[in-house]
Amino acid sequence: MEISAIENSYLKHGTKYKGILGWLTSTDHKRIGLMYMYAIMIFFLVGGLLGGLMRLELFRPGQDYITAQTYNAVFTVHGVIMIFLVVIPGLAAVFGNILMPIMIGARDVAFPKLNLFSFYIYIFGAILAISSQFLGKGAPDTGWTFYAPYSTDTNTNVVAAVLAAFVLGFSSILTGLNFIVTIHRMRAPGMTWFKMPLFPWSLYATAWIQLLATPIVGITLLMIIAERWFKIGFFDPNLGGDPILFQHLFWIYSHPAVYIMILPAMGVITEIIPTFSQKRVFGYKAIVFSSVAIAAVGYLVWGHHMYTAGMSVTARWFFSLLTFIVAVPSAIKVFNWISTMYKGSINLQPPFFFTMAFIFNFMIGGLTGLVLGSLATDIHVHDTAFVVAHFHYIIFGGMGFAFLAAIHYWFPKIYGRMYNNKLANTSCALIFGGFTLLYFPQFIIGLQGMPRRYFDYLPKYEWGQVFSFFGAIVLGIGILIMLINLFKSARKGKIASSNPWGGKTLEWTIASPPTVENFEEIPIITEGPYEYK
Amino acid sequence: MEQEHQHITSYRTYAIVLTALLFLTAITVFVTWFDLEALTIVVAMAIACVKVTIVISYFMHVKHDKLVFKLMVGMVFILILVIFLILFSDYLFR
Amino acid sequence: MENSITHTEHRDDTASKMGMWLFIFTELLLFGGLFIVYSVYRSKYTADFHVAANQLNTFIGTVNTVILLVSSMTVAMSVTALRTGNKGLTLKLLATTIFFAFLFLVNKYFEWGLKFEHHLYPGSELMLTLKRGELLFFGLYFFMTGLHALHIIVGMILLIVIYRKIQTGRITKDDNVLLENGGLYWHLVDLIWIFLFPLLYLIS
Repeated sequence: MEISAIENSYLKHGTKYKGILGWLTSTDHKRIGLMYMYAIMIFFLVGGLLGGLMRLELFRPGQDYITAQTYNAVFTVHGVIMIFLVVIPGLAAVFGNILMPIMIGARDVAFPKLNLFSFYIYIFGAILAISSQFLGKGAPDTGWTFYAPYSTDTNTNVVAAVLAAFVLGFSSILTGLNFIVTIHRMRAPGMTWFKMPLFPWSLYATAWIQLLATPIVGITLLMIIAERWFKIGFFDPNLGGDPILFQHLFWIYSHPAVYIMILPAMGVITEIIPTFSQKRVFGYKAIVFSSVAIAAVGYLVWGHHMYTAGMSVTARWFFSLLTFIVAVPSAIKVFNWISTMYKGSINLQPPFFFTMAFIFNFMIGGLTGLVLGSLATDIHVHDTAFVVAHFHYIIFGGMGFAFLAAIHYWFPKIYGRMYNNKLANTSCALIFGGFTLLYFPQFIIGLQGMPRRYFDYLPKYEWGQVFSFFGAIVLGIGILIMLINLFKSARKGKIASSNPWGGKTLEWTIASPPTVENFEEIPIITEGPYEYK
Repeated sequence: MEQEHQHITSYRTYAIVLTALLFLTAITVFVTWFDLEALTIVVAMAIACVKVTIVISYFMHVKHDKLVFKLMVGMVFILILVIFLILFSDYLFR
Repeated sequence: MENSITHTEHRDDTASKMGMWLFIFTELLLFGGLFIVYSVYRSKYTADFHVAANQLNTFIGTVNTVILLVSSMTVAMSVTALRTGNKGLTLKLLATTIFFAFLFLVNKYFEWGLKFEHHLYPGSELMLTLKRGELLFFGLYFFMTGLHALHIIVGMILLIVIYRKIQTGRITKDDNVLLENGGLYWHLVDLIWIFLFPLLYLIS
């Protein structure tokens, strides 16, 4: 493979326009995916800096750098950016767009123009979200959850932030719609449902959640706006409304949203492990069904965010039961990953290290989730730093590490070049170490009673906050090293072969980077996706 | 690309369907003249469900569509029903 | 399979229709959220809801129901007409549908106008003096019928665009999925009204 592969690729050829305009008007799924990736990286850095700011404030008890009101605004913006702009579109819009059509043997998604359209809706929503910080009477201070009745009372600029979430939800819906139709209609001839690779499978399950859960939060957010503008009082107790109903409606979307984040992450991990073990994935159908089961049951467990909100006892134990049930398919996946590695010929490369870190973090995040899911213990740890730690172990430790694993896995396919292995391993170690140092102490001080979203605390929690602060610094350095490595390699790295890891799925059968058309001829599929010898 | 055969519904079928729908509308208005108390909402919703089924099967052609469309539509309505049931496990037992 | 460099534009009607259906599902769930809110407050304030619903005009509601049902039939028939190659009839049926849509909006205008005249509108002083359940009922009434009317307007625009495309020959006997999708959207508007009508107008 020489430079010519890059010259012939989608990176150089696209629409009739050249340069940046050629990217902005491109309906090529690979270009759209990359545009999402660059946008998400920028927002991730912004959100991460805000997180760092909170860590700085919490370094010592008492007020040091920012006021309580600013702190409230900072954690709200951190949440809105990270949830709606980074992790929800994260894997699906980036790697789903770039790789899903290739993995099922298609030339593009079913509706390429709609795909570009949803990217622009995303950008529009992002602009709204950012501008909500500067326009009106101050940045929103409700937390990313917009709980009523505070969100309908506060004078800050809630409407813009709420509208941003609504618009971003619409973008997410259209991406999901596109993926479902693509997977139904455009699989290569011979690729039956059970010959489809597992990353597309996880995207398929995710797409259904995006499609069926997002509208509920959409209408809820519209009701918040109606309440602010027209005093309709859907959620205001003074006007007869019920604030708990808001929590119900909000979590009917926002809990499944967690699965929108983690399901594609599991899909990525399921792709990486067979490649680096050179072994057929263990229990293909079990993984498929567990994805579908997580999507289905995960839709119905929203109430476990509301144990202390005043729900009926019946509802509480029912939600707790369902929460424990949804842990089963998640555990099935972990067992399958471990079993796939068993007796495989393991190839220790950066993507595999990130994958190991994912499994480790996901185990901790998942098991602490059960602590929160059981009624009695949740009363104790509800709204403490324990929840913060659990949440970040799933979202960052899980979805975030899967994202990094995916970048390192598909990097040679996307850019046709290879990164520096040593630097990649160093950054992986630093990110993992920093992450652990940052969030693990939060479990402990959370159990001791440190509340979440507080900008001040008792001196007995100081040791944990100090650890977390230094963890955040290590984490930041790790991310910086990784970004430098990736950006340098994308332009000047060694030319990569078309299949550097010895993968078996379709994306490894074509040139790196792919041509605009992906396949010269659509392949005809006769066997399953992971037929290693 | 092969084009699937398109089912063409006759004008007559549509006319019959409309008559049925109008008839059901008349019934649902008519029953409100009687005081059925708690049953009012049950009857109204039952009739609405029948009407919706008719519209989906005939006007929206799901009856003659591929199986996958039937499954999807069914799934969505079941999902909405399940959400209601779970939500009311809170409100009915408070 | 041809080896062309450009993206091959192949037509897949089933894919387009599936896309439309998926979009319809999101709309159903959007209104589903509202129906959830309605049912919760109705179970909490049953008596207030009955009193408030009494003030809605059942006659106008029924007329609008009939209008939507008939227009649903005409748009369904227009698909049949196009598939049997009768372009003239297709256009006439579509025009009828669009006319009915307009009629629905006119009715809605008068219905809302009357409420506004009686100082019953979201945020009015009279509204805030009502009982909590009645206040919620009227809030829901305006929100739900308003959102529904918005969908009527969108559907109307969609049908007008489709009308133009049939006129200029961009939708034909053999390539009619756009008309079918427009029809599906119009039926969705009808579906939602089928639930809205008894819940708002017929519970007194």
